[in-house]
Amino acid sequence: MNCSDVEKWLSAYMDGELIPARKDAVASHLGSCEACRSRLAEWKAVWQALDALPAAAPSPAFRSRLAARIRESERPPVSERFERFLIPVSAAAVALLGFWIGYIAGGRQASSAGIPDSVSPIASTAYLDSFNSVPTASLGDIYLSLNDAIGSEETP
Amino acid sequence: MQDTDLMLRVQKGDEAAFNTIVERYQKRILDLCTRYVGNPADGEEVAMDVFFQLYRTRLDYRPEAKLSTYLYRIAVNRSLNRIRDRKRRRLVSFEWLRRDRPFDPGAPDEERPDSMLETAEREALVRGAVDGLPEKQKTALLLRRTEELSYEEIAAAMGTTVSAVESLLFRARETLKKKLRPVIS
Repeated sequence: MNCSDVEKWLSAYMDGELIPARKDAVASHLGSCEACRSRLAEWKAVWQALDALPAAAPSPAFRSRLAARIRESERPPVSERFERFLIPVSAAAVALLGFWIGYIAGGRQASSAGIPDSVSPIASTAYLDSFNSVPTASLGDIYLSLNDAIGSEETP
Repeated sequence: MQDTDLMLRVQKGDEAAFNTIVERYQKRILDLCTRYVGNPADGEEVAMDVFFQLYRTRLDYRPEAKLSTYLYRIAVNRSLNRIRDRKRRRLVSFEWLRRDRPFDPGAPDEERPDSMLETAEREALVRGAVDGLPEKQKTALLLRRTEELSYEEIAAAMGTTVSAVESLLFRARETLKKKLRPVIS
């Protein structure tokens, strides 16, 4: 085995990756070749210099951050969440609107039903006294005639 | 429990099995990623990406593949992506060289500012030399040096042949020998 053969195998030799027969041949050559020994020594020094790259230690939050990221990824997408949220909220809004309309309409009926019948025509007539001087055949005159007619029908 | 059995459990939704895998590999993956991308903060982010990716693609895992090889492959790809992103964004992190400890005259030699500077310079030189290697040489070198993988394992993780790994390591060593002469002589 000459220097160029050894050069080819030296890296694998250093890493303990050669088959035994080849490893012995390289070792034998190194025993007698200063240049190849020197190259191997330099490579070993390079390997040692790589210790300067410090090892890393995971931060205490590594696992919890990873777990949080996984949980977040398993949540349904925003659009799906929005749809899920939208349906019940829309239904609730429609129901509320229905209640509100019902409440308002019911309230109006109750307030008009709450006015005593005996008061209503008097108040209306008193209010309409201001129209006594309305011109004949005007809209006011027609209204007052109708009002008088209704009043005479209601009176027993 | 074997890695493969753990992954099969993860595929069935076993959270504890996934935690065991993270526990088993987090140090090795973090070391590799940190040395690959060049600073601890980015290294941790990439390592987290690796495990996240493992979880996300858990159903794609096939028991024929060695889990460690699968993880190293993800780690290398993610680290390369991070470096490329950083180059694109032209971000330079000096985290690697940062030292927050105040000056202490009574401190051991290795903690004195002059020694720390020397150590920092040495780190920077080594880091620069390793970062300057072509991607494949750097990958092979780190998988061998940091993870002590066999040539066969490196070849599997890189998707190449054992003889290609031999060649990559030979060239990486020769390049580093020239670049690190001030440190090794």
